[in-house]
Amino acid sequence: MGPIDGLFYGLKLIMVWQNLLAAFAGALVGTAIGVLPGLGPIAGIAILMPITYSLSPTAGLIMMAGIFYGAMYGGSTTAILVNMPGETASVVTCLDGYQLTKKGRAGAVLCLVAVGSFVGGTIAVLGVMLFAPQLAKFGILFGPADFFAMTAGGLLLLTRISGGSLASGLFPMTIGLLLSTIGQEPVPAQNRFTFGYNDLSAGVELVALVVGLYGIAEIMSVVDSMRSQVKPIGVRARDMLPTRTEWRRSLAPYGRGTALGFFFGLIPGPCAVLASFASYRLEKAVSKYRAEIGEGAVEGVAGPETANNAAATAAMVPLLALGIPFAPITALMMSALMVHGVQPGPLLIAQHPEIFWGVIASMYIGNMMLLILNVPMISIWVSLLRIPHYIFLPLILLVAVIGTYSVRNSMLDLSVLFLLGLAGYVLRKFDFHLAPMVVGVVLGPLIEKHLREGLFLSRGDISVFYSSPIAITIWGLVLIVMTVGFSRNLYKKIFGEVGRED
Amino acid sequence: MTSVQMRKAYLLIGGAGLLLAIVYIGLSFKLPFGELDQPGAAVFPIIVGVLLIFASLATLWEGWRFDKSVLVQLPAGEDRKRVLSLIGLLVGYFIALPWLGQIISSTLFLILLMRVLSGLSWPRIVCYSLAISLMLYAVFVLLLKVPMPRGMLLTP
Repeated sequence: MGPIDGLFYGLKLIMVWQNLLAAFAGALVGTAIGVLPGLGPIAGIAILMPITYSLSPTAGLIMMAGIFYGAMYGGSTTAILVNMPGETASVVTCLDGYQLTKKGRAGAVLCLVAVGSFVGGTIAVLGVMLFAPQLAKFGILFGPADFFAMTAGGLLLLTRISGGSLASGLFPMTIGLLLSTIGQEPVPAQNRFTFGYNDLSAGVELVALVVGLYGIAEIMSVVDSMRSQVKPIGVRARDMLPTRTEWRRSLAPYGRGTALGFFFGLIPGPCAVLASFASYRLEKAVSKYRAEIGEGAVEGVAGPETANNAAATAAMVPLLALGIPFAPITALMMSALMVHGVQPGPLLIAQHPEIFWGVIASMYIGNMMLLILNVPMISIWVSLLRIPHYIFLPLILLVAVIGTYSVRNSMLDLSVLFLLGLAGYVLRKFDFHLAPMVVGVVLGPLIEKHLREGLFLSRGDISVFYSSPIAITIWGLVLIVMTVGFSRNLYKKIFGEVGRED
Repeated sequence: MTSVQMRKAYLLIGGAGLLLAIVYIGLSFKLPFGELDQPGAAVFPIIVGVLLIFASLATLWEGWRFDKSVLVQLPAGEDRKRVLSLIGLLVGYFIALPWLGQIISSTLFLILLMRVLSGLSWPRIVCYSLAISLMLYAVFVLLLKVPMPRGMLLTP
């Protein structure tokens, strides 16, 4: 099926009430998650994952994708209005966004951001549509050794590209891999490290782990530094029209942000965060108005916000084409697909075209929904920021607990939720990255499977893991990045001092 | 705010990781190895254990190299009290949940947490807590049919 036929097929699929409702619900909830501090897109998706189990795989994935890019949209609202990013990818938006708010341009900037996010998201979907099927065709040629290199090598790359020191990524990653070995192992179904708890046979529940690390830990962080709540300024619909100059100045950052964001979406790491930081640096380097960036320039907002949406969309490529998630959110999506009995991998597009093209088409529709939700309805989102902390923090906590419990009706999962919340809070305090831990838990069983398959097919010859051209290329790249290629200085040069994942 | 040396934290985390790795590898050796062409359940955990030793040593090395002046701010005073209260309330909530059921334990948890987070009067807190608790019960238990614990003490 060609891209045009595929898109029409996808559009036909999405025009079913269940899929349209899933896209709308995802976009709506995602925007709310992005706007409210205390619950980022990762924890938000994890909490809502059990609800997606009752939908079809296509509708479930559409809803999760909607939450992902919805949160990217929503996160910028708090960054611009109250100088507080709703999620990490909007940290740089605070720098110029809040300055522009102080100059009385809040409404116009929110409109420019919404349009930029729409442009970035929509053009990136085009890239996914054209690029993913080609990559999947190439992926069919992969053997177990190549997949082993892709998964294990990709995970190692993630630990370095997340930024920070070697230990800050590697330590959580190995803890993630360790957690992935708990439960029934894949081949002779033998229990490992379950210590007699039947609930552990199915492994550590991913929802409990992610909601703990990203939700409970984040709420603890908010509680430990709770100050008087900043009230946002009101934004009227008529204030939302940018001037002709602001539109003109935003066009080039939209283009640069889209290209940069798409590229970052394809590589392992917290793509949306890295893309927004890199875009900000790029604007500071090449924009005609670079002297104004940092003091309140539209380029400093339009570029990064376009980039983070493009990256969020492009991050779907490795998942849909190869079945390899390189970020916590796509790892959750893969896990949800597997619950539905759909095996992600290069054959996904051929065997389940309804999922691939349905998600692609939903992104066009979802981005349009977000534009409608964010521009005329901005005052509703602003009013969410007026909800006192003492109401929404306990509410989010309870939703997190119920969401986690609902997956397996297990009290053990609530203990995991609490312990990992505490661990996440402590690790974040000391600058450790949490994304490698989540991706480690999801990729662990895949790495083990490909390792054992590789050894089995080669009759115990370990040279199989470094003899194919694909494996050699990947391991070479990993070696360069792990040793010399991605030094802290280079990282700072691309993303700046503030470019950190968590 | 109170502070702690980054160096000490890294040394502590690295040390804990090393200890965990040793115990984990010890347990992994009890699993079947299989052959190289038919690897058993122990192979991957042993590789992970070795990787954890390496990661822990890297953490210890980085901790050792941290300047003593690098400090991390930890909550103190009222801030610390709030976080510790939240942790204590969560523990209490998870213990109470199977015994008292979702509605009662959640309402109690909300009342106490709102009291910690705000200076509102008790009657207002009780009203808000009941409203949130009942709303969540209606959405998740009645509408979405999530089988939350009904409470061992309350069910005959």
